[in-house]
Amino acid sequence: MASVEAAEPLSPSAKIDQLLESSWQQQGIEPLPAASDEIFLRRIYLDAIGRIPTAAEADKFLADSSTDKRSALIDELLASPGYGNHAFNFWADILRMNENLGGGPNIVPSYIDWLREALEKNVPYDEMVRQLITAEGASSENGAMGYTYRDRGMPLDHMANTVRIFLGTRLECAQCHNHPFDKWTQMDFFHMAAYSYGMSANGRRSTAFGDLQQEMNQDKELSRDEKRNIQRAFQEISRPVRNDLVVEYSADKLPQLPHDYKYDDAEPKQKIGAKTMFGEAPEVASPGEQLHAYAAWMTSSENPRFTKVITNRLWKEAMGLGLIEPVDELTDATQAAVPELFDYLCEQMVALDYDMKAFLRMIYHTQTYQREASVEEILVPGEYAFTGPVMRRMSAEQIWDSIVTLINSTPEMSNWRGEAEREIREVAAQRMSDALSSKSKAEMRRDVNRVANFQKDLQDQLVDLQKQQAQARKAKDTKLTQELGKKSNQLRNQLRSWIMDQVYEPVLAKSPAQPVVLQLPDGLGEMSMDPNQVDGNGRPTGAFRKQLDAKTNQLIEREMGELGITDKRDSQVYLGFRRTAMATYLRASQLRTPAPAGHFLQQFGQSDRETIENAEAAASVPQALTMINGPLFQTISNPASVLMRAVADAEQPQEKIDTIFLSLVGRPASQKEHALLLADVESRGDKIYDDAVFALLNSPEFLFVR
Amino acid sequence: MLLQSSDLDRREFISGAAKTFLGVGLGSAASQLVAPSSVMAAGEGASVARQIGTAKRVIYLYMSGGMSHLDTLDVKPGAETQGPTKAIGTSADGVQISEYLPKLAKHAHHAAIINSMSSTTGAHQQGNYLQHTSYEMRGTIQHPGLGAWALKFMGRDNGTIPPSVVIGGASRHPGSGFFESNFEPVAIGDPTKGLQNVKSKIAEEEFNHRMQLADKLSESFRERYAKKEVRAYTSMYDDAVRLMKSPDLEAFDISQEPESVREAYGSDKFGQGCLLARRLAENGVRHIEVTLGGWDTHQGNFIRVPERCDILDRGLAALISDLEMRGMLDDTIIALATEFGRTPRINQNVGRDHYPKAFSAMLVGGGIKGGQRFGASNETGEEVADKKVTIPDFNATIAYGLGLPLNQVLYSPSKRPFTVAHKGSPLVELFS
Repeated sequence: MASVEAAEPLSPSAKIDQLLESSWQQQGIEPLPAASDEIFLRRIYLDAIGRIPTAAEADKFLADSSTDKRSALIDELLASPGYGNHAFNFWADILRMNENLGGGPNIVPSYIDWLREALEKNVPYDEMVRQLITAEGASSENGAMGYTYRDRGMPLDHMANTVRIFLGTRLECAQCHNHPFDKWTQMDFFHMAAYSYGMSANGRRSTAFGDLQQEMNQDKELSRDEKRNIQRAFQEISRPVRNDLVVEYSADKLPQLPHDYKYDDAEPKQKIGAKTMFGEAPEVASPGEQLHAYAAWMTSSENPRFTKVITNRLWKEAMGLGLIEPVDELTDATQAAVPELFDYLCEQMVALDYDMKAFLRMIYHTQTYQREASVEEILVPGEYAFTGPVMRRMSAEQIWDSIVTLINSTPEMSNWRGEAEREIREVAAQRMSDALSSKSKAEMRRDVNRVANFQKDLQDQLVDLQKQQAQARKAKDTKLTQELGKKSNQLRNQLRSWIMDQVYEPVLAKSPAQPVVLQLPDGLGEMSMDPNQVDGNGRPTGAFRKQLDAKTNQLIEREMGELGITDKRDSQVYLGFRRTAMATYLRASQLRTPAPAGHFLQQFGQSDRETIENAEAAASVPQALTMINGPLFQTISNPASVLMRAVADAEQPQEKIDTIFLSLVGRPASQKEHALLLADVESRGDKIYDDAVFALLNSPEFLFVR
Repeated sequence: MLLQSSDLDRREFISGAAKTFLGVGLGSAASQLVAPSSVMAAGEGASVARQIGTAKRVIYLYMSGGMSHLDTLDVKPGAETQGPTKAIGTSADGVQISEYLPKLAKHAHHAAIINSMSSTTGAHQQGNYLQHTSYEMRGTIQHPGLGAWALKFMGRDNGTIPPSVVIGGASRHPGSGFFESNFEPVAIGDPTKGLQNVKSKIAEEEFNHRMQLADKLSESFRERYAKKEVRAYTSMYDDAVRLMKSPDLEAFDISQEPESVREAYGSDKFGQGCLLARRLAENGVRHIEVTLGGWDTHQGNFIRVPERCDILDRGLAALISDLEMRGMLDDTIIALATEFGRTPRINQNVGRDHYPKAFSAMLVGGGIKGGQRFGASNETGEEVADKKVTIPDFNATIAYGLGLPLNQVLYSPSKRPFTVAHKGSPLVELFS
């Protein structure tokens, strides 16, 4: 297929090309050739929306003869929901969005929603950062508070993370001593830490609750055992609302130097006030404004490191390598690879008001981006001349999302079932939290005493049961031992439902629940949820799940109508397949973050999101085993998959083979490839299509972005 | 022999090392990845230098949740904190352990029991992390586990088998930390199922046909884009197919063991995991961890600890005697570890709560002198009374047994200096 000239560039894009060209001329090097439409097509899909094009999408672009088709595709992709789905992964790695860690949620669900929405709405970067740094309040009201919550209890590490993420500067060494390779002192560290030190994340409880807890704990008339029992009652009562969280800021809370502080400028254990590590923060009229002054200093276009970091990160996202590497170890001596270019890009970032989408659009429109990928072994990153993008393996998310594209016909659909479940849980938790807060101290005291008594009662029964269990165990009566164990568990659950009935229900009953209205995707309309549809642990009830099932079926039946699937068996296959696809084969950004251990995404190097940008692109044997022997191939080659339906629609064997190539590697098969595959028709019949899918899926051309 | 850090520019070392690390996960020789011994800094001279290792491998039994010391390895007959747990005599002179571990008692002459472990970390996740890495959990870095350090320094034993394996347990494992991903342990969820996806679901002939086709369809791409990362993926597939055909795979298949052996280890996941550990140890795996959970006995301590002990006792005793019989106990360290002990004071739920101040651990084999008790807690089990051992000290002892260079500094990608057991001092007295 003939290649088309790169789209008429916008002027900043042309300027970028020009700056690079003069740098190549100076060094006497030639740029890489312009990329063909096929190469451009696959790359821009993967870069802009994080997945490969379907055969139909590839066909449409390649057959288009208009001269501005590349530009049109860039704009179409950046405006599609795929952009947010892809950008989410990039930021989830940087912000360590990890909802798997034990001991309560590590991030609040509304934080995930906040990020998703900010990216969908293309909120300017500096605004996003300000929101993250300064967010206070309840999780239900301000999801950005999740940024502070992520590092709860670690205010010093939190500051080091903030400086690393947004200023690309490493301060963590200076927590314990002056930085060994940079100019930062331990004092700089504590000055900086002072800004956000007063931010603390806690469960949201009313003051009455806290006061009472303290009061009863200090009550001299209670015995030690009684006190313990009462503390446990407090714990049990607040259990259902433990995920209702809040970030609060108190400006007068300051960090203290360590006891072994060894420099002359201050005493050990001295309290340290806020001061920026370079430049100056705006004057504040009262200490309460300090946090916002800090955010203003951090995100100011006058703060050179702030602009450099995001400029470099986005350049790297598009071109595969930063102009500065690593992206987050800037020092005063750091030099960008093509300094004139880097300066110009930073100017553009400011001129575009930190609009990340517009910045990427500018890069995608350069001739440089639209050149063939470099296969040079880049040994010293700073010395690469950027004669084209750098060839790389897809990220774990790109691989997974590409596979999703082969399977799921609605790859951009949100995980609306998960969202509905999350929503109902949040609303329920909120209502219970309000119910608890509405109680007066006297009411609460009565509740606590009642729970403590009930619990003590249960406890006696429990101890008795355990004695019986011990005897049963000694007598080697396994059946009885198990039965008694079951009874113990039931007793424990009894306490929870008793608390629901006695402490929460009476208040909840007084204010009837307002139904929650949820918008469903794809013209399914709205769904009204009763916030009481949760069990004693705050989880959605079976009835609620059935409601969601019905909606899913409705959606699938509509699809079948459109596709004209009427045959009973075909319908069943389709229904089953689509249900699985919509539950399992969703975009990576719609699944748990990160995916659970052992998931395909983890195997291919998805970041564990425990440390900043911890993704990997290295090969490992379990990856190959998953690809060649795992259940994935069967799903892809299922007749109801996107890929196999497209193959079935194609008529001639040649056409079917081209459909497979377009689907997996974004180009039709070459003559040689056709011949190779068709040679097996006699011996293998229709199996040649499965063979081709298997072979391409396991070829480097699938995994790499050229 | 040891040069100072200034002899080698750190940046140069890091970037040089990084280049070497782009190879294939299970295929590259780990030995070449070891940093030059000239790199030293913060930990210089912090602990004894490298010795010749007495052990070649480690089987690390991790008791997740916090194992009660008073009811297992540190019984205090007559103390008011002891509760109903009784002490029994063992095959080691003057050493008593809990009545819940009768089989282990017969092997105590192989064991060094440490009763003076002490830490300040009383939360599960943080304690678990500290026990595995010797470093405190931080928001800014992920430290490598002991197994990853061992591979980094020792290399691997065998061609196709993964050199580090973690069996069972949902406990989070720090894995390779900031080391390259090829030091990541392979996780086996269910020991009876072994390694996943190693068998093709289609006939061999068809499988070969498809692999050949994949190879042919890749040819032109490979030629045009001759890049190290692309080659790494080619060899990854070669390695995978070789592993599928490798006799080493049988190491993962415990169904090949006689029924009597399987029974001796216990039918539960932990017991079968210990059996799998033995098979892997025989086949050149350097580091194997088996997890037993359920030790978080806030309630019903005296019901639940005996249950856990039954499982532990059976699996551990079978492992010791099996290794002994095979002549492998001399060069295999079995470590028994947990994140913390439990409160000597029994709580109102007849349970015990988290207690890092004093707890116990144990080492068996691999050059460890058996039949000894090291350190002691006081009469109530609440304080360390003699020879306090920190978690880094404990891990340093294992590293010492393996002959790892304890004071060799390696740098994280952020160029912060780290050592295998965070400057812990090995308990050299434990070795014979």
